[in-house]
Amino acid sequence: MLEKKRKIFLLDVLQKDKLLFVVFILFVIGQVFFTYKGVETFPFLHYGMYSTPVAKPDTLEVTELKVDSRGVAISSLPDAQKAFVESSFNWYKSILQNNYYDSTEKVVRQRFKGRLQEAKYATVLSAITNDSAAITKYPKWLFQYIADMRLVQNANMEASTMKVQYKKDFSLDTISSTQVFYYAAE
Amino acid sequence: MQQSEVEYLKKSKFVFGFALAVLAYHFFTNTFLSQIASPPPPLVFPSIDNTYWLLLLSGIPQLIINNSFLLTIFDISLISLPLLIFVYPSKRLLYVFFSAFITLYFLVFNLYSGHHFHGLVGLILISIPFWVKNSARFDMLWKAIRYYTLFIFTSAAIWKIARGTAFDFNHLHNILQHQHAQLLFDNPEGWCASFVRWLLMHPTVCFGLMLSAVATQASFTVGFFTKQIDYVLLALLLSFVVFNYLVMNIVSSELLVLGLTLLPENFWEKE
Repeated sequence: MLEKKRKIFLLDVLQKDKLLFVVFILFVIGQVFFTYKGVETFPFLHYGMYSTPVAKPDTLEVTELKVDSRGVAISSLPDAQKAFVESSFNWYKSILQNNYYDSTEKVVRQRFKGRLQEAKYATVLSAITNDSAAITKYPKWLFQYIADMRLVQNANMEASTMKVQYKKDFSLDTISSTQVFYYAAE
Repeated sequence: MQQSEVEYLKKSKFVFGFALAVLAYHFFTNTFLSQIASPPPPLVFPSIDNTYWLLLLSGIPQLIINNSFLLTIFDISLISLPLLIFVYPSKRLLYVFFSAFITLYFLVFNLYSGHHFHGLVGLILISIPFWVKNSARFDMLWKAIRYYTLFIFTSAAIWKIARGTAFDFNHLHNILQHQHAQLLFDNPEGWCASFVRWLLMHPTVCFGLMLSAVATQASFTVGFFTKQIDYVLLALLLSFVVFNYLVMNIVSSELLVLGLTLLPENFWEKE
């Protein structure tokens, strides 16, 4: 029986290194707590790996970027760069669609409004959320990041959201196009 | 040289050789902090993660991202630390610094990217055992990282089963339509787009791939009870990374470093 117990990792750690055992137990408790709460707090991460139900899309949104009137295929960018461009642009777009309102502000308000002094609350809010000054800087940043490696004669960028729909052969049909921003360097 | 030291040094070479490869990949894909920060990215995305909130309140990310001198120092340090570890593998402090720098890179990158990616977690965690001098403690930490690897994939399977998506015939088919819309828009004639369209035309194949993915992830549960099939799990980890790229177009190769904990003990015993 004792022999069997020794093979259990955590009991082995408990016997050999009590400090490490405490560290492991605290980590497990943290992981269970944040999993139960349904939120991530690094280093307690959630590995659902596309486990959330996804509905069949009627229409979808894709992004069209043009630098100096020439198309930039986001999906052709190197993977890490593509991920950075795609997700930052989607975050920017969601703030714009929300009338320049950063949805994180709602959570900050729920957690801290009335619990902190006004001045402290304002400091927390400005550190954690994006104000309109930051939001308006995004097109310039994206242009610099994308155009950096290209030989651009006219320093301008246009970003549009294309509403698309799958056809029967799973090619895409463009339904409409909406300009998200046009940026021209001074 | 003691046996435990031989193992420590060999593990160090593999882990930090891998770290160098990952960092080279980030450099050549223009995602070092100095590359994304000229000018500084203006939008932060802490989401509702308390760690990112605390980090922003500390002012550290803003300080780094807005100062080109600090950015350069940071990036040079990040790439130099694994190189220094190769030269001085017994200096524990280098490992502590590496963990600190790679963690900060991971957090700052995620903070400004608009999404919290998990890929670098493997490197962060596996660098921790190297902090300690005590060989027994090093062994236990290494084993703990193996359990964390098992947890990653087991939990992915459990979530899919618990949410009912593991056995939903249309689940992967629907995901692929979202996942590849940008690719099909940008480059509809390419071979990747042709392959994606073929997959979408064959929902049964999609369902088969989904079941295979869940079975692969669920297989890691066995690792909690025995080490006998660790070779199989390592092969499954490799196949997961390959299929994740082919089917989902997601690069998850950074997680491969965790596969080192699935190698048998006698592999590390030889110099």
